[in-house]
Amino acid sequence: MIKKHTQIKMNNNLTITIINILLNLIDVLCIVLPVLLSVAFMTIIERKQLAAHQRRVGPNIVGYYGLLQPFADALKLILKETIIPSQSNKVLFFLAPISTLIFSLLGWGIIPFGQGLALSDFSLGILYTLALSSLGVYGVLLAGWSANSKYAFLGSLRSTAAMISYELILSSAILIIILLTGSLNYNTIIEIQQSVWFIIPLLPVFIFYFIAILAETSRTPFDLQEAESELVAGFFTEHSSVPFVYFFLGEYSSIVLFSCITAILFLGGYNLPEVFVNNSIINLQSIILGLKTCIFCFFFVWFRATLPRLRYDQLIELCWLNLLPVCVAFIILIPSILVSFDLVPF
Amino acid sequence: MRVPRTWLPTGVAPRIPLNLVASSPRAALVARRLLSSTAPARAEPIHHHDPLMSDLEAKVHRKKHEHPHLFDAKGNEIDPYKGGPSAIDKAVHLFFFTEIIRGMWVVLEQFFREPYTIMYPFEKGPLSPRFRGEHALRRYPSGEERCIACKLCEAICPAQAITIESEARMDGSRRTTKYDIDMTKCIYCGFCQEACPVDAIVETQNQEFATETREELLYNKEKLLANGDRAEAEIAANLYADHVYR
Amino acid sequence: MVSLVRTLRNMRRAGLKEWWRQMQYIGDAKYGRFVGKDQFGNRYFENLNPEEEIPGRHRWVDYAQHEFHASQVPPEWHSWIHHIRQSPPTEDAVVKSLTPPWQAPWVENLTGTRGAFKTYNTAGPKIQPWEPKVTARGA
Repeated sequence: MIKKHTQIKMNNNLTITIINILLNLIDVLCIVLPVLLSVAFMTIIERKQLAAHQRRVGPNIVGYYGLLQPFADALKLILKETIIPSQSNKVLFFLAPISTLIFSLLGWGIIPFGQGLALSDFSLGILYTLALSSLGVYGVLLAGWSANSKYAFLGSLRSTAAMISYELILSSAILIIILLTGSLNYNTIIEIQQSVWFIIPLLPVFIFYFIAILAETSRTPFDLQEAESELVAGFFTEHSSVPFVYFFLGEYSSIVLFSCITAILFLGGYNLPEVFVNNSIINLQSIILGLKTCIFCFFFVWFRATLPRLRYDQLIELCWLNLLPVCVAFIILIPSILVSFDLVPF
Repeated sequence: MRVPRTWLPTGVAPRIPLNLVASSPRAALVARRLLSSTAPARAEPIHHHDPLMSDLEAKVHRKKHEHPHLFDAKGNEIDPYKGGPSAIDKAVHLFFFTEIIRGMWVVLEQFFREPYTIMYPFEKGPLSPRFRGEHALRRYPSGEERCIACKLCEAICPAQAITIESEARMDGSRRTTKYDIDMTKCIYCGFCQEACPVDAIVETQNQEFATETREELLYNKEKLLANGDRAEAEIAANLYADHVYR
Repeated sequence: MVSLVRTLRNMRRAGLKEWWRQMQYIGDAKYGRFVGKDQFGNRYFENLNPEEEIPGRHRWVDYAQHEFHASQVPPEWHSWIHHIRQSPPTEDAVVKSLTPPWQAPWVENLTGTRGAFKTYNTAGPKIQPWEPKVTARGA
């Protein structure tokens, strides 16, 4: 009797656990699927916007105005043959694209899409983001090393050095925001920006923050790893078909992710300033965050359309000799202002 | 040494010629808007002898690279930077990314303008009446074929793409029995139509004759005559348009 | 953004039905003067206003067939749409007077279909095989 009872209880616990896992899985899918869809559309937006900047039309055959182009591209890439170089380290060769994609998708776990609309309202959110962006370097490093190709190797060396250098600028810029808010939580940062978006008082910080995320996501003018004229395609030269799709998705996902984080850190995330009514019947918060993200996605492509690529030594010099001193100066200046006006939040 | 430019004492804004401001406000507006065509207000790049050398070298050995002093005929020292921007001007342009912002503005202007793309095959680019496309053999208005088998085109063809065989016809006139052009060999130089004494072989303006197999491009006499029969109006009109230059 | 204004303006002027057809084929909203129709039913348009159409895009064709191909344009209209001749063949006196009565109907590029051109030899054989002829003995 007792034995049977415990068995029922155990069964009960097991079902609850399974249901919990399934619910979590659905939660994650609710984030990941729209994110992947937005990443797909980011590729078509980039191509159409670049075309507009160069007064071309861009892809316009697949679907109206070329809207279905990303799916055609994905289909093409998936149907291609996966070529594995015979001298490559096969485990790392496949681990690299997978880790790149996973690390860039993991970043979405803590993004608040609205009040309480996050997979995890993590109190150390910013640290988590920074940690993930550091881990993203590993994908690049592994891909370059495992492919046993000098182009891939050079590309990965370049982009690793650039990413590690610019992470310093990125974290310094974020440090200033942490000093202003006194919290590492994204929700708190958004709530504090109810009165004024940080982009207004912190415009210079925003500028070098944006330079840093351009380098972090290895976009032009810092896309040395993909310098087509000198390296064939950068660190993923040897990757084709599905592994290449993973790199591609990871790259564009991190662009959208960083645009989103920029919107949260500098443009007040899902909130509009209090002049606007925010408590409408429809939940506009996610849409507002999306629109703000779009602004920065536009910036990414706009920079790509405008700026030529930096030389490698210029890239490193810009980081260590120009940006870092300015960054350190701001790290000294802003706490000084806070202390002198007795505004320290903690 | 750099040629010193004249600089207006204004700040970051693009330079506008003063007379433009005076003449009409619209012209001034246009001048201000077209940042791409206004004179650059920017920090001049450091001059290198070796374009592959990095800036670091020059910065470490700054003393070595200092410019020698310049003197005019009277022995007075010339300041080569006199007409140029001041150090503050340069620093301002450097720190506020003025050059980058100007570049980005130009690119953004283009974003809001309509594209130049010609939507082939619905819209097509301009062609000359002398355009050299697919070949055709022409006929006289009576319907008699023009080619008299003189073989001048065969002789002049630099790619040796033309093969001609001829026989006397029943009425005694000489006509080709074989007039083959290997379009895969043809380089579309137009020598055949230049050489032809009776304007029989011509290159039409048709450029859309690409085929899926190689065999379809080995044209024989019937194909060439058929081309001419279909497009005679266009060919004749083009020859007429060009006749004053021939 | 100019494209947006342009699209809306051309959509209004060409009509929704025409716009929908254009979206299936050209992929852009265009509006202009109807110039003519050829024997295959392809319609030709022109808009010479440089404010509305970028010069170079001012002449266009709306193909009658769903499986459109550039070679479906007959040669007279071909020289109009390629800007070789200024006026369309319906108005062009030179083209009209130079059209012979024996002009053959235009055939589009039929490559990849059963109508594709197959080459053959137009000359007779050079070598005549020997045909043995036996004359009867003692005749």
